[in-house]
Amino acid sequence: MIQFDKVELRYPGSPAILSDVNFAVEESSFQFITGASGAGKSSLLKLMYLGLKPSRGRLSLFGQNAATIGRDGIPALRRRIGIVFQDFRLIPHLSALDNVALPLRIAGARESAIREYVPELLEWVGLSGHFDSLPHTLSGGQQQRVAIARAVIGRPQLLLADEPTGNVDDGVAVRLLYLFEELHKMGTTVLIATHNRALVERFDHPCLNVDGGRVTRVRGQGSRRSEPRPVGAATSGGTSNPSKHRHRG
Amino acid sequence: MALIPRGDIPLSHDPSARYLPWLLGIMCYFAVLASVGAVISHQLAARWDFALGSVVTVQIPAAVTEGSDAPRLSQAERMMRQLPGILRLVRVDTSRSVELLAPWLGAELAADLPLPRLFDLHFAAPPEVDLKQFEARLGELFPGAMVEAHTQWMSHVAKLTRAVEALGLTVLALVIGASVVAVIFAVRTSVSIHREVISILHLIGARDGYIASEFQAHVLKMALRGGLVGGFLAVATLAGVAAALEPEAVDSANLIPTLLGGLPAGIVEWILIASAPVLVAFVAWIAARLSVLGALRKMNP
Repeated sequence: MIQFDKVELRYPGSPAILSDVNFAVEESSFQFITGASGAGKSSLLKLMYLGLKPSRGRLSLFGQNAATIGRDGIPALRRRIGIVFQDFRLIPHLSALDNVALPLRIAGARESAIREYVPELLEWVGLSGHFDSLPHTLSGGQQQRVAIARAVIGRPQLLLADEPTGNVDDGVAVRLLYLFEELHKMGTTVLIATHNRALVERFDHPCLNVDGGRVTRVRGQGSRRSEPRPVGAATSGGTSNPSKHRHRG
Repeated sequence: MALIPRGDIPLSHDPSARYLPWLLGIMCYFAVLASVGAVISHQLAARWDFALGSVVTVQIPAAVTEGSDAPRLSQAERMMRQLPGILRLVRVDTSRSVELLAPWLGAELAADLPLPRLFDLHFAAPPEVDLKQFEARLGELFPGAMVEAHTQWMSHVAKLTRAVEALGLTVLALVIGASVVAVIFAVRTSVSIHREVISILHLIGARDGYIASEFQAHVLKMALRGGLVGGFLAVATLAGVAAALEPEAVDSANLIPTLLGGLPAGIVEWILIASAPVLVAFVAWIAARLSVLGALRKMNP
């Protein structure tokens, strides 16, 4: 799905932020990206959603060479990607419901479909009582869940999450990661960038480490078994069947 | 393409949302007046071209004694009636000529003068007959007879009305140009204000066209609102001018005929007036799209 081949990223006149990056992300995989703050995790994710383009090397996204994807091709590619930003990046004047509905509206979905699926997903992430709430009236954890709902409402093939647990306490952080696991079970490829190693250790997924601009694999698949957990444990409220969200549109 | 703002971008709180409808309303006001002025001038010019360009006046010197040249006069009238394309011949009554001269010469002197006999020849279209040759033939019967086509002096009046028409169209073009500039300025300011929201929309897969349509719908709404007010005020102004020129026109609902110099106004004129706000709104809508797309291309998607 994603292939980095000797990728380098640098701004003109500055030292390389990332250099000689070589790794692949397989379809339907779940990977962590760890590293200290400022190590280049966010830049790595930005390359993956074409917020930046490599200065050197070849980056392949969904089989396309990133260097040849023009401005007009970027929106279609981004609709295949759900992004959870570290600072949420919710639109402040829109309600939780309208924020989550945005990707569907952009994709041209019917309003009837939006009215059906968006409340359902908000309930699934435990925000059933906050459909009309504006972002600034929600707590950090609630905003994070709105951001996650917005990222997954369009059934993306790839979910990129940048420090999704950075603004929440440990309990909520673990619940959010369970939520990402649920999405992964539904077939979504998940990449989570976090500096919280303790949290990563609680889950049995491959892990890449970014340090000094270089990316190394620190843990492969199956190196540690995650503890058994109930389906829907990520949500504090609603626990509707997540498989229903596989067929919206 | 959205015609109603979706509200993804909070454009209704922008500074431009307060001044742009007024600005476009004023532009629309002038657009209506300019276009009506151009239409009036065009119609007057066409009407005068037709009405006067197809009339020829024949002037035959006065008889030495009353009725002494009656046979020749009858022959001259027959020659006139035989001209190709002639619709009717009107003999201008001598008393009417005296009436016309009286204010300048005094009634007594005008009545004593040996006035020439005048004939108005009305043609279906500007005559194609060689008037010089016809004048020469008449001159054999009545030495000094003159044939005068009104087109000669009408051309000056026609030029004036065409100039007024061109002026109206120029004002219309300037108004549209100023509207475009105002919209471009407002839209670019809005793009700058909402850069962050636009960036989020881009990141979740919005195309430039989707974002531009939000701005377009917002500008269209403002332009229609301002345009309708401006258009209404322009019609009210026309009604006021018409009432001042001819008070009964307003009562008889003959506003446009009055302004058009008595010509019956058809639905075309009213469609033109009604379309001015729509035209201004359409131009603003297109300008908003091109302007937003241009501004977005300068941003990273």
